[in-house]
Amino acid sequence: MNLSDDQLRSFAALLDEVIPPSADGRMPGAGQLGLAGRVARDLGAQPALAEIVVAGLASADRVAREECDRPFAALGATDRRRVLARLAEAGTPLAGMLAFPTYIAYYEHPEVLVALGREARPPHPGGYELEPFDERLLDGVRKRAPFYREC
Amino acid sequence: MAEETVDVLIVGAGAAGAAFAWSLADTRMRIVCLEQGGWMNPATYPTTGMDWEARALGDFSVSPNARGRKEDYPVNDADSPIKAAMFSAVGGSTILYAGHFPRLHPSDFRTKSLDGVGEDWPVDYATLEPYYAENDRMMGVAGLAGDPAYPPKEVPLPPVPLGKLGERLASGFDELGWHWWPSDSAIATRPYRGRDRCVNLGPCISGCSQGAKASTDITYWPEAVRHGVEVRPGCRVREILLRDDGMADGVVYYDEAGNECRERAEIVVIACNGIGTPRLLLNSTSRAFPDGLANRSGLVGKNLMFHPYGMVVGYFDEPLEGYKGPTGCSLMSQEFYETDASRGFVRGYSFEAVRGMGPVSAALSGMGSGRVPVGEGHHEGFAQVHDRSAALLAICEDLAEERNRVTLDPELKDANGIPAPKIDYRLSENSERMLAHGVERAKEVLAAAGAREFQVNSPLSVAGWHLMGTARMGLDPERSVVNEWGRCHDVRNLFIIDGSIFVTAGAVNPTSTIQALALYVADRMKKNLANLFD
Repeated sequence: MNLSDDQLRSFAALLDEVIPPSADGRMPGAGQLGLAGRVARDLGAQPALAEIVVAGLASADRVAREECDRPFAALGATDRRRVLARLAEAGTPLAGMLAFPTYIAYYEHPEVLVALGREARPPHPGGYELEPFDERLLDGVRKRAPFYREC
Repeated sequence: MAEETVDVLIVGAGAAGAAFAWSLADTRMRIVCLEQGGWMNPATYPTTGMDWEARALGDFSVSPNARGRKEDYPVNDADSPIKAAMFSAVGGSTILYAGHFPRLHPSDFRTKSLDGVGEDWPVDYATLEPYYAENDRMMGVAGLAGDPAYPPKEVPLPPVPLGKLGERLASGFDELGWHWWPSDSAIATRPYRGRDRCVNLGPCISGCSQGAKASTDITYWPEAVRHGVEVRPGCRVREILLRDDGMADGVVYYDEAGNECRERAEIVVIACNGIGTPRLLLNSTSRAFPDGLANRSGLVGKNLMFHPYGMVVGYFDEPLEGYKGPTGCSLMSQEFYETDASRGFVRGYSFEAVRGMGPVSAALSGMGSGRVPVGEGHHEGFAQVHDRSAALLAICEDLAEERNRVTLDPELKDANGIPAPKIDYRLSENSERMLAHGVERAKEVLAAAGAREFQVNSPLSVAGWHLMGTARMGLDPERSVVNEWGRCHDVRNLFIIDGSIFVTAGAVNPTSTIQALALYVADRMKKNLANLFD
């Protein structure tokens, strides 16, 4: 999905409504994190959805200018939500449509993993250490007589 | 150039084909295995990259329909609540399996005699036990001897660590006084036969980058190839040919470049799984077998059994470190394995514990259940689910029913134009009752372990990875497709060795038994080479 610079700004603002920044500032918004290009690229694999999103962005900008005299990207959070609610009422729930690709891009991002207290790395090759199995845990189960059926 | 005739031609290089080829290799016969997939490179598996969770939904999905790799064939599973899961490669579905490796129980081979349902197998647990043991050594099975749910057995490697999550679940079973035991796992918990030890990286079901999980591309195949077996990857078999005397003559297949080829063989062995095997037989028609090869009984493709899975996710108040350790291997319970008439169903189920989800999976699952909303409240919702979930799967025994079947789809085809399989499957009333029972008992365990709320997914639609019964064994040619050692009743040099030949499903993951059967059939063949076709 190819977007102009203006569209990318609107798209980033939209992603901040899919995953907004956390109230304590610990977790960034998805738009703030710079995911607009990545999510737009992923949407390229779904042309029908991409078409709806591009049209929805245009609608969001038009409604924002009509009601607030500013482009969607320049709105504060309250006004953005009002605009998106209008579009959703009209049958285009833009934020919901973008949830799947945005959640994926957000929760595999190194900055997000670190903010969650995880290491910013793939599982391999580091893996994780675990204590060996403690056989004492089975003390109770071992007291039980065999209960499979002989046949 | 004269057309070569090989001694043994195996179709399919998965769990069964690999074990069978390795066992037969010591005969020094000329053995060739045709496999539609290729050799895998563990360095490219998802867990080597940051996008490991997304790839498990894409090119490493368990569903061939979602994956859409060239080597996959599509499956029409629209008329089944359980969707087909499999993988095409040298190693087959062991590339993506969890490695959960329990054996069937003695009673699973005698359900008709004991409980009046299904059919008795023409072999029993005692007959297969040496082959189970041999397979455990070859695959490198981790676990612990002394489980009261099973006859005594040796286990080659120490058990997979439980971790904090597993210990919480174990405490739940203990609280209720119910059986649990560390899982038998086809995972090297210490260096074993050239494989490195497990480093608890998590999602075995996306392929093991570490090489600790026993997929057959790194267990049986290297040894079989060293002993002279030839594997031809990228070769998809279209049909099995028949000679005028009623014996199999070999196969027609497409090579990697799409060229139509023939391979003649003295013995043909099918190891294509419970969907691929009936598909191949049904695609192999002739004047002698207009309804599919070896199908005089009319049972090829019928009696398809899955394991209906009831999944209950419990959410806890504190972090469980559930991302550490093999996803599907920690502990299991067989408290409800055997028939108890007071429960309202016959036969039973196992519980298999499932560790936690990664961040992406937690977010997507939370979105689906409404726990992780879009927009306001997102982070609060995510914090409630991330690293705070543990799940139990009730793996229910499926009873064979002829209405549950694999046929050929009239329109759907694979990349080579070969008709694709169609599944028609419905849950029985017995399965529905068993699932309901399993879900309620799972909630009790999770609650006893400290879970504050639950999410139920039953039947688990993505869980069609155990494919059984569609060319079953038996002594009666009217009621079975192969005899007690895998030879087709109708074609004496045609053998089937995969999950298709299961008579009953049991309530455990089938790979251990599939491979024990393959080793058993190979051994019977070796002992009867002089009169194999009598």
